[in-house]
Amino acid sequence: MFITIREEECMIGPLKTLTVMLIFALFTLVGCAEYAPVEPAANTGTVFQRPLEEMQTATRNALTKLNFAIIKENELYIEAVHLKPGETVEDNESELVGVWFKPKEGSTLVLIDTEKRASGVAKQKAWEQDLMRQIMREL
Amino acid sequence: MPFRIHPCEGLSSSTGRDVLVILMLRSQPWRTCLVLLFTMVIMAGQTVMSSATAEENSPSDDILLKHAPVFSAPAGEPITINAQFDGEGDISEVRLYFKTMAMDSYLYVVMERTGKSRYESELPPAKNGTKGVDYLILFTDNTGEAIRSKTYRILISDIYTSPRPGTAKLEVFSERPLSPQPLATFAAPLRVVATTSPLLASATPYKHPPIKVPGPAPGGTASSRKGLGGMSISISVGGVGISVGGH
Repeated sequence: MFITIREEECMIGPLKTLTVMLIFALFTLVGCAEYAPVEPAANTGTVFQRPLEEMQTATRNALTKLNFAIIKENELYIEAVHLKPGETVEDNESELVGVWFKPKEGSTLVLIDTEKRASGVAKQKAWEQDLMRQIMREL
Repeated sequence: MPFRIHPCEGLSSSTGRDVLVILMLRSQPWRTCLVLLFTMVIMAGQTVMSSATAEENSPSDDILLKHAPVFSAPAGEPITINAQFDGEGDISEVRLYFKTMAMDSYLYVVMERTGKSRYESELPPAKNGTKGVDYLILFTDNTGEAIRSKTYRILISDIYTSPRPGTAKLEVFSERPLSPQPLATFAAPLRVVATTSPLLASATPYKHPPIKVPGPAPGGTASSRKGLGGMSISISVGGVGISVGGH
């Protein structure tokens, strides 16, 4: 049994209007969903008996050698995106890595976190161990 | 012909679409306007948020440097670097310093003025295997004070064929003596000229705006790994947000 547009005056009420608005909002917001690394707990990092500047240089070089493009950086934090062949920073489906530095009296605690995208998960991996190993090689 | 819906359909996406069409066609336009207005507000907020990170500027004293960093580039191609200066101060000279990861000291080229307060220059193409090129922008005002930006790193992606070397030698300047070996990482031949006006060592760092550094997961220090295979999604509009995913 079908209902014509003229007969459904009672069906489309305020609740359904709100539902439609919510669907619109969700579809729109999914496009701008922010994904960013999350600072891990301090006990998950590695302490290096090196000054901050040395750790920054080693981390920068380690990220570059592992094919990461550094997109955000200050004295205590570096954020980079892993680029697969053919990808650019503006157009990629790759994971983000955040590296936090906690300097303290001649040593530096380094924390690393990987944030994966919702799409293209099969091509992404966690980089904590590989990146830490590469940083050690750079020192 | 009236638009028809089967009453047995659940709230599927096709039903949602049909409901939307019905709303658009109904004789009560206020609902349509409300839906469209709501969507436009969200999309406008999205546009504002995404455009805020396009360029980098800083509340410096007299001169504002606007520069969109180059994050990655393919080997074998020159890399164009742009910079724009706003504010009340006058720019005397703009230099683009660069070096590969294998080099100890910087080379530089003088950036050309391409418009009112806009400067542009090209980095020489890098060879396969270069991995990364560092660059920074240094400018001097009319008082002779030199101000340098922070160092940016360009990830150089290798290409399958060796980059074609340039025929003309590109003139670059050096503030320190250089060994020829690191210059071999560039795909174009360079003619290095020793400068008579070194500025880099004495330049004042430019006050870049602070960046947003992600903090720990909400709810204190969480030692557990994230759920959803390492993914988390947070959606925020105008400071109001929701987070999805285990932390």
